[in-house]
Formats: sequence, structure tokens, C-alpha cells
Amino acid sequence: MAGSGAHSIAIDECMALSYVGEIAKAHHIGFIGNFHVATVLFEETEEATADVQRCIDEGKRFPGYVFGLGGPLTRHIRLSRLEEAVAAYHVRRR
Amino acid sequence: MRALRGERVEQTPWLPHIGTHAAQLLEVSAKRYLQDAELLARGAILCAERYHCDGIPLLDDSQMEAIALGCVPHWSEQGLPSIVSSPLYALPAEQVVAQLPPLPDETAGRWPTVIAAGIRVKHELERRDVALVGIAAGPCTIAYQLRGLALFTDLFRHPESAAALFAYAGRVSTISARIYAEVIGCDIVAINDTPATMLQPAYFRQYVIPNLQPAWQVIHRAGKTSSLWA
Repeated sequence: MAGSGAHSIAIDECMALSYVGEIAKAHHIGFIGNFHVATVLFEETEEATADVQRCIDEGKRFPGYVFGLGGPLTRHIRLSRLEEAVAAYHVRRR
Repeated sequence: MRALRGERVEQTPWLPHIGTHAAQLLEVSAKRYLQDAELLARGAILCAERYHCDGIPLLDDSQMEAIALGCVPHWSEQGLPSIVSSPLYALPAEQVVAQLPPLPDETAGRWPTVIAAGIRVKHELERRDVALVGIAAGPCTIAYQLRGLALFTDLFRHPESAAALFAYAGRVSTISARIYAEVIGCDIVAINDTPATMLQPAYFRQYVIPNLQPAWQVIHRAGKTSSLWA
């Protein structure tokens, strides 16, 4: 994917962001990922902010990182949890 | 845009994969949202404002191209449509090339709706300094939707037929990329090719990468930023 000719790649939550960051850096491309959307689906799952922290910690170490989702948002997400995750990202984006 | 081209930037940008989430925010069915230019436009602006993102997709539906090519969708109130049949599903592999549908243009399927939504939303997002993202279906996605699971057996039993189908699907992806980049003026054009991750690396290199190149050329020639999503 990194050598496909695109300026950037986006990957799902199954990939380790730090591993993808290494590859993207070597190919001088951007990379988008990979917040686990399941963390905003249900109230009982782990804290969404912890997954935001994982993305920022692993992604920001490399040039070309763009915070994004591991998959599309579904219709039945908990809005409050998504808003909490987005707020956590905005605090950590610098 | 600089980050997506591999540069280190001061603030980490953010770009969501919105799916049919805007339908939830707009309190309409996914089926209605995905087929209405006004709702697509309102949904993109609503998501951009609500989540303060740096880029927002116009339409996040990988079935759009296949439906324009004659595949039959099952629409859902809750999520993206599913492809339930295709003109190529039951054909023997030897007949696939002769039965490929005519290539689409911007008048096919939902393109008029998507173009109308894009034109409506482009200026509004520019004013907010938010990039507009066009998402085209990739060659493997289109080939899989047209041929179904038989695509994967064709790869080793009928490789010439599979190669022709991937080449055709790559031309469809390129047409979508051109419409997003040149007609709508999207800042970023992504090729979403999730089923390609089911291919072994040798097949990915042989069937997918060569058929992505014309789309990248169209996007880059238009001065836009490209992205491969899988």
C-alpha cells in the first residue's frame, strides 16, 4: 500500500500504528488511523479517550500522521462517547 | 494537506470516515441520506462543524460505483446498502469480459446527486478551512462487487478473465477519481479498496497496484492529494 503511488494511506485498527508510521516515514507518505470505532459504540467498553491517547502517542512520533478512524462510523454509536473522544483528540493534537 | 503528503506538522490534523453517521445526526434513514444531495451536503457540513475536523468525506459508500454499473442493492434504513446481485455473478469466467457493463460517466447512477451535493458543499467547507474528501471505490472493491466470491477462484482458475475484470474496475475507479478531482473539485481523493486486503501480497501487486496508477495520475494532475484506504 505504501508503495502504491498514493500520497497517503489509511489503515484499520488491526494494524499497529507505530509499525505503519515507520513504513510511511520510509516511503515519505502520510498515514491516517486508526481509532477503534467500537470504543464509541457501547457504554460498557473501555474508555474511548484511552484509544485516542494510543493513536496520538504512536502516530505523532512520525511525520505525516493524521488522526482518523479505523473504520466508518455506524449509525448507532453513542454520541456522547464520540464527542468525548473528539474532545480528547483536540486536547492532545498539539 | 501537508501531513497527508508525509510532512511533520505542528498540530495533528483529523479526518473521519463518516459512513452513514450524518443520517443519525440528521434523524433520517441511511437510505434517504445516501440518495439526497441536500442531505449529503447538510450532513458533511454538520459533521465538519460538530467534530471540528480538518477534512470531511462527501459520500462514504463503496457500493455507489457498483450500483451505477447495474448491480442490485438492498437498501437499509440503518446503514450502507448491500449488493445482492450483479450481471456477472452467475456467468462462466470465459463470458465475463464480453458482459462487462458500459463504463459509467457523471450521468450514471447516483453521480448527479453526488456532484450536486459536492458543488453545494465545496464553498461552505472552504470558508471553514475544511478539506472536501471524495472517496472512490477501488479496483478490487468494484471487481468483487461485480463478480462476487467467484472473483477469488477466477484469480487462479481463470487469471486472464480476472486480469481483464481488474483492469476494467481500475478504469471505473479512475472515472470516479476524475469526477471527484475535476468535476467536484475535492481537495483529497481517496481510493477505498478494503477487499484488496483479502488478497495475498503477490496478487495485490499484480492486480491492484497497476490498476490504481491511472487514478493516481488523474488526481495528481489535478493538483489534488491522494490516499489509499484499506
